[in-house]
Amino acid sequence: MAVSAPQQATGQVATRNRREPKNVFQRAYRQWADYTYIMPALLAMFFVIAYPIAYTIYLSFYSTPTAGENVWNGLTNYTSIITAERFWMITQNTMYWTIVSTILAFIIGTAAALVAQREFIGRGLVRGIFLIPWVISHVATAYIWVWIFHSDYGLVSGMLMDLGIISSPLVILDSTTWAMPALILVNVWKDFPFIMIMMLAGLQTVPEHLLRAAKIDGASTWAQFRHVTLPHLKGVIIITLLLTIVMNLNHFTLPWIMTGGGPASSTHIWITEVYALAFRSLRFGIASAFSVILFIIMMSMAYFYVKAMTAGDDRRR
Amino acid sequence: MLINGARLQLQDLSIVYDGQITAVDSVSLDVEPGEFLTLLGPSGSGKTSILMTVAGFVPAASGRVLVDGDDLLGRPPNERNLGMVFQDYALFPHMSVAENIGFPLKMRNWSKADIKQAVDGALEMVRLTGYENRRPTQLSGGEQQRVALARSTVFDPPVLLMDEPLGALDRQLREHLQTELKRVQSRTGITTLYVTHDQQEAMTLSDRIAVMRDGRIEQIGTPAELYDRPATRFVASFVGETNLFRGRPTGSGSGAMLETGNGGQIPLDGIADLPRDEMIEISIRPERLTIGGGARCTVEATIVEVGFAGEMIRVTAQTSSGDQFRIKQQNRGQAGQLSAGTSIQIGWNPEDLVVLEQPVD
Ligand SMILES: Nc1ncnc2c1ncn2[C@@H]1O[C@H](COP(=O)(O)OP(=O)(O)OP(=O)(O)O)[C@@H](O)[C@H]1O
Ligand SMILES: [Mg+2]
Repeated sequence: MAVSAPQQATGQVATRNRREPKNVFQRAYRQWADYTYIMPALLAMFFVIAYPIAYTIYLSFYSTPTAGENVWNGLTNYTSIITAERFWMITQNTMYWTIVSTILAFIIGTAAALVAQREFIGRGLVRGIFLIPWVISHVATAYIWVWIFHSDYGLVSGMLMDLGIISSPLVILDSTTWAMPALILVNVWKDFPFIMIMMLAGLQTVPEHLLRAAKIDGASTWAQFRHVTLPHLKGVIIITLLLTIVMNLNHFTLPWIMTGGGPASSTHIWITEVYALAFRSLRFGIASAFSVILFIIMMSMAYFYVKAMTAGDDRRR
Repeated sequence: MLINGARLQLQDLSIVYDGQITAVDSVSLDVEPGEFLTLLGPSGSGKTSILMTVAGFVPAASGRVLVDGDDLLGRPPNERNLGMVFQDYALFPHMSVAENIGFPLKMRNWSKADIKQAVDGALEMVRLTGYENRRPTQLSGGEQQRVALARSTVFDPPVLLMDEPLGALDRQLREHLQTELKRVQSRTGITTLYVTHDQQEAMTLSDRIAVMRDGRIEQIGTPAELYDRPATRFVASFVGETNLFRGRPTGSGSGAMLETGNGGQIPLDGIADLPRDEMIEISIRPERLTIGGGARCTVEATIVEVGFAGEMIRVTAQTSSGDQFRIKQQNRGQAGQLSAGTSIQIGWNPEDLVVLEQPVD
């Protein structure tokens, strides 16, 4: 390959000699073709995302009576939301729901990944079974579990009564104490396969030779996991956690179908509250302001997500 | 930090993959305390398999692996207390150099202060003092391998295993690290089982070499023994370059000859105990051959080709009966006199000629 070497060399020189434009626009202009390719996608996103966002922000500064014109009322919507005790109670619910769901799903999902990764007879079957909750639609899941939890003819209540553990039907989804834990249980059941898949994919990238090196250095199975596997999975773990957190913060279907936020708003979380405000109470102004608040919170999560996603790129550069 | 290495013994060790592929076939081997022993052999001869079984990653089908008389088989790798250097270094990317080297000590629950002291000593030994806070990615290949060497020896293991540790490095660096490796090994006195398919490397480093072929040890001995007295055709041609001739011995004493067919005769002067009327094979190294008269054994030949390789000159010559000799000579400016078609006399001393075992049929 005596020919290609000098060619390569000239290529490099040429790149180096080309002046690097300082201006952002000049640099962007140099990649105009790239931008052209993504333009249709950008336009579509603009109409389905940017426009509604802009309209929501606009509405959030107005009072929107059901009859009559919208009236500008500045930050009133915002102040009334965050000064209301209800907002903080719902925020508390949201945190409870998100944090407990995420942690439990993460632990169970990781454990499932570790099990599903081992080589044993029937591994494929076990993996398949683990995936079932994930492939069932949220709506179906919600109705199945409503039935399971039903106090009069539900599975849980019925079984416990048959076994003689309880004497009267168990009230679950109608109890302010148990409704949220029950929802979280269903959510964890639904989400752990996602975490399992992510962790399984991660586990498969742990280099065998590193595990061997650790082993020969005297590391027990736990020490190998702790000192080799976990650090290797750091990126996957952060991204999986962030995705799960955002998914949970935004989760609407399960709580809305199973409890509708009740009893006594004990299972209302941000997103169900926004929905109820907008489409039950028809208070679009307040609902919009609420949405904008959530939007800001979500965007800050997205910031961390993108940062975690691109962390590897920086290292490679 | 002078360690007394342990005695490593393999006794009738066999390794079988998937119940049918016999990778290692009843190999026995004694590595003396402090000895540097190399398993040398072509790809697929079972070198890595032996190392993996000693380390505990691959089970033995039968046989024993003893360290100072202690059977290691049945113990998991993390309880074997062996040092191991891998071809791809296997440094932990998320740990600094110091943390990497200290890792085996941490696993042995050493105190922080003791770890630091040992790590400093190990870094000094591989001449990487000042590198403690670097990440493996910030090191060159050679530096990474030195860190790996430090990590595998820092806990004074009785036995060190190395599987082609220099295989991923370029030649210059490899030669440099060979000296480094040898220095560390002799300073620590650690018993070393080394794997390579590079015969040059094996010769440079080893006290003894076990030449492997198809899962068996073909010959074991010091580098000089293997080179000067190869037992078989395989060893003769795998360890260094050689001229091989096969034929029937005739005559006796100073008149003994090897009949190579087509009337070809190669003098076997001075070689005793030749099997009569049986095909034998002899080997003679190219650099032991001389051009010009004066040697005890000589044959007439015509130069076919002259190759110039800097400090060496390679000459290929053919006798009238078709036997080819490859000759390697120090370049002393004689290249001009050697050209294709020239008639020469090839000579050698009888003691440089080796009769190989396993007569060919
Ligand atoms: N995991 C495995 N499963 C099945 N067969 C294997 C396995 N590992 C090695 N073998 C076979 O065992 C034989 C010896 O392999 P081994 O890796 O020990 O050779 P080697 O001498 O180290 O070769 P190389 O110089 O290429 O590293 C080969 O025929 C190989 O195909
Ligand atoms: Mg190998």
